[in-house]
Amino acid sequence: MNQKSINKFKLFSNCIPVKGSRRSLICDVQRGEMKLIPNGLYEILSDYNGKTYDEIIEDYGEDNKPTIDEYFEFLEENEFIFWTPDPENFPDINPEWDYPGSITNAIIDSNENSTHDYAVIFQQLSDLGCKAVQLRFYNTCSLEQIEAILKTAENTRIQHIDFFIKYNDTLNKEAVQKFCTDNLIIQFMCIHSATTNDDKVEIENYSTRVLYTTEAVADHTHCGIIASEYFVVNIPSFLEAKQYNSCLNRKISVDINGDIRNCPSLPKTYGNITTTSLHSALVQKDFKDLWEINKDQIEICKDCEFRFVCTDCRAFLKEPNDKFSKPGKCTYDPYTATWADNANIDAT
Amino acid sequence: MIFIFSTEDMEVTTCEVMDWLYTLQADCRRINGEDFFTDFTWTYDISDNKEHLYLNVNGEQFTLDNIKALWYRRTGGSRIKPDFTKIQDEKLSRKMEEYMWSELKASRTAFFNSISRKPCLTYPNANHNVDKQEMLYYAIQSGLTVPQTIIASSKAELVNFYNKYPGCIIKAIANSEVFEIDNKPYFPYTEMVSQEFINTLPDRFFSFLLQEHLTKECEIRTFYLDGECYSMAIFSQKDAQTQVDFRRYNKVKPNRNVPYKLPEDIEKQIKDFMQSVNLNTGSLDIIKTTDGRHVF
Repeated sequence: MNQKSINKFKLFSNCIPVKGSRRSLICDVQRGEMKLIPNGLYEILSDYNGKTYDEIIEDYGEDNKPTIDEYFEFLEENEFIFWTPDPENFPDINPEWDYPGSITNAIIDSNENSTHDYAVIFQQLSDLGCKAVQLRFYNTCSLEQIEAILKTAENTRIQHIDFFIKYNDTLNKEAVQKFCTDNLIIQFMCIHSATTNDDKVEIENYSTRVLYTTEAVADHTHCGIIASEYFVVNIPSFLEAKQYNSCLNRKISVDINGDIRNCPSLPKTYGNITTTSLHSALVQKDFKDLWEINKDQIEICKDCEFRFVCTDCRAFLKEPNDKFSKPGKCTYDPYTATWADNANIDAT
Repeated sequence: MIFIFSTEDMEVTTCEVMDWLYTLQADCRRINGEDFFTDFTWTYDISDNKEHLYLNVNGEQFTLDNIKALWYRRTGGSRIKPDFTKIQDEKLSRKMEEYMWSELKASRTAFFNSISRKPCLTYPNANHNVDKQEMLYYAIQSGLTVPQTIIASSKAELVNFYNKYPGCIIKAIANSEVFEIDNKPYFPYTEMVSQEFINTLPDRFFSFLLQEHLTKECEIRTFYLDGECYSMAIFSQKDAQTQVDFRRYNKVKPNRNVPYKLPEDIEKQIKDFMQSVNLNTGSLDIIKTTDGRHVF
């Protein structure tokens, strides 16, 4: 190929290779895709990015040419690289992550005994810059009740609200479909403890997702699950995960009793919402303690190729007394590159 | 107070900037162009040898002294619907409507002339629709490379240029803007000139702008803000759909967009150019050719 002989190859800066113990991952944070690669290719990508094909062949020897050609075919097929005479004009993506607000997301839990004043909570979240809220109802409720709650989020900066609600027969598919179409602030609605599973409830023209599951989401322990289907590949989440904790950073929660926590599953509370504002909880000195624990500091995770697309959990740990231990519900072993899917670890 | 002038629809950028302003505790107010003659009220007063501007933004009163700066993001349409149906004479009714619009336009200009005494990000009354040809002229004055270009109106000139620069492109002479009819958007896209197209042309016709076709390594879009260039490379040439015009977005497999650093001398030329056309912010399109040139 003509290009190869005169130009240098360059990885598109939004295709970021992440090295794992056994294999590596190219995270295409622009197109939201990822591809596993052998560590040998990772080495070429990190050592020779911006160099010529000939330089690689020279160092690796003619014997390795077929493998290297295969690598380049793969890289070009996926549009991970391009050829240019001026690789120095293509800088890396700025690694800084920031957000216009001190909170990005919040969880509000409730059961039949909860007495949250949603108007107050939403206003406080809005003042903190929070745009995404998840409401988890361990009990059941009606669409009228949900509508009344949504009303209180009007004229705030909150842009997305996700729901977990226990099934009752008024929450049938048609009613929920109509409700979500009328209330575009809902991005995800999970009806748990349902009679049947259904993940194909179409909300016409909009990106809302509705899911019925027979599983019961009975309390906060139904969280912290690590699975490939929860992997997120985009620029802000990747950059945030490189620097901060991919679950707890800039998160705040109100549990079923109104107690303010970083996450409902974490032991420490920072006052009750009836007497303490979210802002004053947030500024308490240890509220942000777990925010800066990124995957590079967590045992085992630091050797995992999925570490920057994965959601962490600091509530359920393999070693409950070690805050740097791997998430308890993760069944992936980066040293063997296998998932032990049957190994169910109980919540602590 | 920072005064923001924007539009109602399709304006995520204004919201994102306001999120930051709010977080950084900067006081700001936003007015959408649609509300300019309706919800928003103002008085211009030049009595006693002094200029005053009074604004009423959603019930809050401000004067020119309260305004620190203006961000003139976008114009926005008007919600005013003139009704001259009482006037029977159709010609008179049309003239009255024309007269009304010219009055509104002049009052708006008066408002923005006054507010422009403050620092503005984009001066609202500056001529933003500078002609493409004028832009090219100022670009070469600043040392930038521009493509071979003609504006003409005869088939002979077109054929002449086509023979000299095979594969040349035809594009809008004016600043081409998207318009919408019945929710369907129309884009004045750039097209390649073909022999078949030439065969359909009469000897003398409507004016056109022709430009040599540049073989792209990539396209560069530079956002210029107050002396700084923030550039991105768009790899549109690999995809047949976006090869001639990247605005024909491929949404399934989007063009690769990555940060780009222009050579220092070109950044300097861009700065000179923007100053010469009186703009302190804007986006510029540049082509990086396969032979290594950056063409404006």
